[in-house]
Amino acid sequence: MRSKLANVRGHGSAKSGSQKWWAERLTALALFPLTIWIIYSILSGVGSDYAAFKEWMSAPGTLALIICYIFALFWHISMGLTMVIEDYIHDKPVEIVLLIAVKFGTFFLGVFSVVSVLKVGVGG
Amino acid sequence: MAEFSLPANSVPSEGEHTPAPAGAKNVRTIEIYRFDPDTGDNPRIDKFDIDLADCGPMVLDVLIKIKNEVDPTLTFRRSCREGICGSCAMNIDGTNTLACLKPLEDIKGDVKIYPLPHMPVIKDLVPDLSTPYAQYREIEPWIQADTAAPANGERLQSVEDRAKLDGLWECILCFSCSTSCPSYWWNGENGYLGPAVLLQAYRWLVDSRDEATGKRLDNLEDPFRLYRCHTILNCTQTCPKGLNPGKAIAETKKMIMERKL
Repeated sequence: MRSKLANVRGHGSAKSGSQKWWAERLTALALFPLTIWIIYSILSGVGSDYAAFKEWMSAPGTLALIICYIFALFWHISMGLTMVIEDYIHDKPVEIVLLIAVKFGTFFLGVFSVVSVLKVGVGG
Repeated sequence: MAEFSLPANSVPSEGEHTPAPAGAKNVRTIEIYRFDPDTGDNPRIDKFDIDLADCGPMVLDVLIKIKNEVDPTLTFRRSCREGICGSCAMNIDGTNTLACLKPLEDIKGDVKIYPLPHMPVIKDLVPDLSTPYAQYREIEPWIQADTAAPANGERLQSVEDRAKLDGLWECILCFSCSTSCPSYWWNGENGYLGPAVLLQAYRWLVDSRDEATGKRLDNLEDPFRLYRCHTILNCTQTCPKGLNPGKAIAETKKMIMERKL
């Protein structure tokens, strides 16, 4: 029974979205060279033993770049999955549960990845 | 949850086939989507074999010929027949365009004509466009200025500022672009304004005479209203006037970032 204009106006503009749009672009920009670098590094290490890998990873520059890569990657994944859920899931309670799951899931996986590389790069 | 099954009346069935009249010289088969809300029957695809030797060159000509000579119940919108009014927008040969600007000879095989996609169908080729019209109303498509207009003249604009409106003022609001946009299909009823309305919004954002730019940007900056555009660019590809709504949306996003960075 509501007018179309009432539907369209809804609760009004959220006055947000630009920061996320910017973050999507920045993480993509960072991931482009970092992904090429990490694939190149892993491929050029094929055949080496664990000690050589550990030595490579424990260099401060390498470890920092890997952590930057993990941070950009999981942030980008989180925003991408959030966008897909917002696009296609129109049942609000299901949508909110999935959005929370994506946030927690990607955050945990990101922290887990950082801990893992620190264990190899810094630990024994 | 996400909808994985199609709603009722989504898959049209085979309809009637009207053969060409005796002595026809250049026969083409025209397949047309038919839906009659009075019967509520499942939509069907009717086929008409038409002699194009006795017909104008455009898709709209053949539709008018069918309505006049074969089936007067065929329902579609048309007015100017020269690409200015935007009434005869429909899905022809798999692409949204204006029937009056689409030459029959550009189409290979049978000519398939459907209403604009993903809109409620009122009858046959007539979609319900009340949502995009309300969205157009929402962006307040008129000049807004607190400065009083000159007493004895128009609000002036430099040649350069006037040129910024080129590629925008030509939009005739046929909604071929919005109804070609998957993001608009999924979220047009959930806040996304769609390429046609966003192009119109940008037309007022770049008008040098308008003084409400900030308010307009505030109203657009929303995860759904503006940022549901994922630069799929079906809009730009399908526009029968050769306009670029995708660029207008990108420029709007840049304007919003410019006031933040």
